[in-house]
Amino acid sequence: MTSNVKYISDSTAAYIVAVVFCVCFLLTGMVQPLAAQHLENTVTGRVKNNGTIRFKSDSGRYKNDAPLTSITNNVIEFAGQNNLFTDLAGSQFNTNALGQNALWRVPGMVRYALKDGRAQLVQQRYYTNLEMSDSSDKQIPDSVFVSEWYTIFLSGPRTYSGTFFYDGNLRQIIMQEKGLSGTVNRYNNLTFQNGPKTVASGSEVWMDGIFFTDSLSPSTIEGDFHWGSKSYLHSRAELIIGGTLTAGNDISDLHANVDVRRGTFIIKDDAGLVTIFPIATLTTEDNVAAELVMGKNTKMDVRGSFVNLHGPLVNTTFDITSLVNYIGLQDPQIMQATALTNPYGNLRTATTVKNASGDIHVAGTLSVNDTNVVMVPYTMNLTLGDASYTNNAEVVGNFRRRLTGAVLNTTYMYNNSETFFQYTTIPQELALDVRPTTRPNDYDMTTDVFRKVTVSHTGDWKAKVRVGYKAEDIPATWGPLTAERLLKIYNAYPAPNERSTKLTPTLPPTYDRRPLLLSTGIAYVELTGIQNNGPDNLRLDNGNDLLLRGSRDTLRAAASGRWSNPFTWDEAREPEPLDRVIIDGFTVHTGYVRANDNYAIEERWPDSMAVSVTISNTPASTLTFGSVGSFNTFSLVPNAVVTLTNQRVAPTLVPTLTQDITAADIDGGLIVYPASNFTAPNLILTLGATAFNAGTLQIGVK
Amino acid sequence: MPIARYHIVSLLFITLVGFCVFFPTMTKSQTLVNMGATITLTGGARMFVSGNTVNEKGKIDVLDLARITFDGDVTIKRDGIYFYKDAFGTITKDLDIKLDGVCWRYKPGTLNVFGTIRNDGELNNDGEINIGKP
Repeated sequence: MTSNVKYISDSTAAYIVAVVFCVCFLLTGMVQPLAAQHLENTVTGRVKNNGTIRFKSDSGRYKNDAPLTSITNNVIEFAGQNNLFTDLAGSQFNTNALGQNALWRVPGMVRYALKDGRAQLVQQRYYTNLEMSDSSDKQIPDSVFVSEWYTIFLSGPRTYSGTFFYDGNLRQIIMQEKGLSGTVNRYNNLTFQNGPKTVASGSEVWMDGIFFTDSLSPSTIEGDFHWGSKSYLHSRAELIIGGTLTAGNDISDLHANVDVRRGTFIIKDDAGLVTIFPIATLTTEDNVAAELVMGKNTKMDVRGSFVNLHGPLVNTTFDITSLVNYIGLQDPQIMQATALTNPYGNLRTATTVKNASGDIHVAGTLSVNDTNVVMVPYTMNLTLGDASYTNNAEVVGNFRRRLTGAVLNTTYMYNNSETFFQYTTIPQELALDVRPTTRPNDYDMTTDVFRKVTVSHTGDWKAKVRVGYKAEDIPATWGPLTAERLLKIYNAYPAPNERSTKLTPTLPPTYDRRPLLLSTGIAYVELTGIQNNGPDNLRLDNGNDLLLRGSRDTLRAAASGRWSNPFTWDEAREPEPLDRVIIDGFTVHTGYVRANDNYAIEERWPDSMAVSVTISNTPASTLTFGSVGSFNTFSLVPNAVVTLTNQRVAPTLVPTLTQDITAADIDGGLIVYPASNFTAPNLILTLGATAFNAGTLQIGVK
Repeated sequence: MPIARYHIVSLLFITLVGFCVFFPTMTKSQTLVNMGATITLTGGARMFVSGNTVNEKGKIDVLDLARITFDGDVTIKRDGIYFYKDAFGTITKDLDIKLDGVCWRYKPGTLNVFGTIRNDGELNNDGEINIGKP
C-alpha cells in the first residue's frame, strides 16, 4: 500500500512552529482590543476640566458616580455618533449621571461635533451650554434643556423632536433657526422658563409647534420671532429695535402683556385666533415704528386691552378681512381708536358696554352684540359695510357713514337695527348722533320721544329714513291724546330759537311705523323723501335734530281719495274719533269706491268719524257720503259740541242722483248721495256754502 | 523522526485556537514602574513605553514640546503624571487614576487616551483630552 503522507524534516517543522509562535506572541502584545473608551469617574474621583475632553468613539460615555461638586467642566465634546452621560452602571437617570435633571445639570459646554456623514444623536439632558458643530446631521430629541447658551457653529442640519427648553434664570439669547417649514433647522416646540430671553437683533427664530413661556420669562424681541402653531405667552414680550413677532397658524394666547416699542407684531394672513386675555394688554407705543399688522382672514379677541399710544394712529394696519373682537368683561371695556387711513377691517363687540379711546374707523363691517357701544364724545366711522346688532344693542353717540361708492336705494344701517337711510341722493358722508333718553331740540314732554337724534352731513342727500326708539325713550309724561301710532318726524332746531317743523315730504307722506308692542324691543318710524334742502315740509337741516312727536295734530287732506285711505291724509293715517280734520282743495269720499284710488276698505269708525271737520272754500274741496249695500250710515262723533263746517261755495249744481265713481275731483262742498245717511251734531254752512243732499242728512244728535 | 505535514497543520491550528482564546486576556507585564522617582521629559524629548506603566509613587513630568507614548495601560497609584505646556501624550490603552493619583493636562497640549479613563482620584484638564478612537 502506498502512502500519500508527505514528510518534512524535523528542522523544517521546528522552524515553522517557531515562526508561528513568534507571530502569535507579537500579535498578542500589539493588537489587544480596547474594551471600552469612556471616562469613568468613580465616587471619589474629581474631574476638573478647564479645557476640552473629547469623546471620539461612537459609544463613548461620560460615566459618573461622584457628587456634582467633584465635577467642573469647560467643554465636553461628543465626536461620536451616540455619546452619553450615564452613571458607572450605564443608567441615564435617577443616579449620578450628569444632566439627568436640573440639579445635575452638565456644567460648562457640551459640544456635539461629528464630522462624518452619519446622524449624530443628541442626548436628552439638562445642559448649561450646548453647541451643535461639524457637518453631521443632529437629531435633537424632546426635553433638551439649556440654561445659558445654545449655539450652532458650522453644524449640519438639526432635526428637532418634542420640546426644546431655554430654562436659565439669567438672560438667554435664543439661537436662530430659520428653516421655513418642517422641523429641520427649525424648532419644533419651544419653551422659555425661569428667566428673561432675547431674540437678538438680526437673528430669525422659526418654529413649527407649540410655544410656551412660564410667568418668569419675559421676552425681548430684537430680531424676527415666528411662532408655529399654538402659542401660550405667560410673560411679557417686548419688541424693540425693529424686532418682529409673528403669530402662528393656530391659536396665540396672550396671557401677558405684549409691548411693541419699536417693531411689529404681525398676525399673518390666515393666522389663527390671537386672544388678549384679561389683565393682558397689547400696547403699541408712541412710535410710528411700533406697529401692529393684521393680515387677511385674521381675528383678534380682545378680552384684556389693546392700546395704541401713537397719537396719529398710523402705526396699525388691519386688512379689510381681519376682525378685532372686543369681548372683555370689563364694564366698560375701552376700544382702541383707529385712524381714517388705518381703519379696522371688521369690528365686533359683545358682553359688556364698550367705550372708545377716540374716533374709530372701520373699513368693513360693524357688529354690536349684547350691550351698547357708547362712543360719546367720539365718532364711530363706517364706510359701506353692514352694521348689525343683536339683543337690541346700539351705538350711542355719533355714527358716521362715509358714503363714497354707495348704492342708491340700499339700506345703510346706522346706530341700531331699526335706524337706517336708503338714499336716492347720496352725500359724501352723513352722521347720526343718537342719544337715548336724552332731551332733543324743542322737546315737549307731553308728546315727544325722549331721544335725541342729530343729523350732520357733507354733501346733499335725500333718503327714506327710519329711526328706531325704545320703551325707555317714551316718557311717563305723555298726554292722553299722544300715541305711538301718531308719531311723526319733525325738523327740530336747537337753542336759542328752538322750534320744530313737521315733515311731509310727499302728499300724502309715506310713513311706515312699528310700535313697541309689535316690536322685539326697538320700534320705529319711517318716512320717505326727507332731504337736506328745499321747502320746510321736507327739509332736515344740518345739525338739527330728527324729532319724533306723537301729538294729535289737525289732519289735513293731502290727496283726493277715500276717507279710510291713510294716504288721503297728511299723516298717512285714517282720521280717528279724536281727530280734527280739514279738507282743503281735495275731494274726500266716504262709504264707497271711486276710481281715483279704488280703495275698498271700509271706514274704521263710521259712527264716530272725527270731532271736527272743516271743508275749506277752495276749488275741489268736497266731502261726499255714499254707500255700498248696507254700509250706508255715517256720523261724526255724537257729541253736542262736534261740528262740520262747510265753507265751499260750489260754482255749479252737482249731479247727485247717482254716486260719482270717477277719478275726477268734485267741486261741491258737502254731498250726501241717495241711500246714504250722514249725521252731524252741528252743521255750519258759511255764507254761500253749498250742501247737496240726495240721501239722509241729519243735523243734531238724538 | 520526521513529522507529517498534517501534523504541522494540526499544530498550527491548535496554536491559532490558543491565540484566539487567550488573546483578549493576555496582558503585558509592567514595563515602567515608578517607585518614587521624578521622571522629566523636556526639550522636545521623545519617550516610548512599550508596555504597561504603573506610577506607584513619584512624578512623571512632560514639558516643553516633549512627547511621550505609553503603549499600554497606565495606572497612577500615587502622585501623578503631569503634561505641561506644549507637551503631548498618548496612552494606547486605559488610564487608571487611583484614589491618591493625579493626572494633569495643562494647556496648551493634547493627551490622547485610546481606551477608557477610570478616575478614582483627580483628573485635571486645562488643555485637550481625547478619549477613544473613532
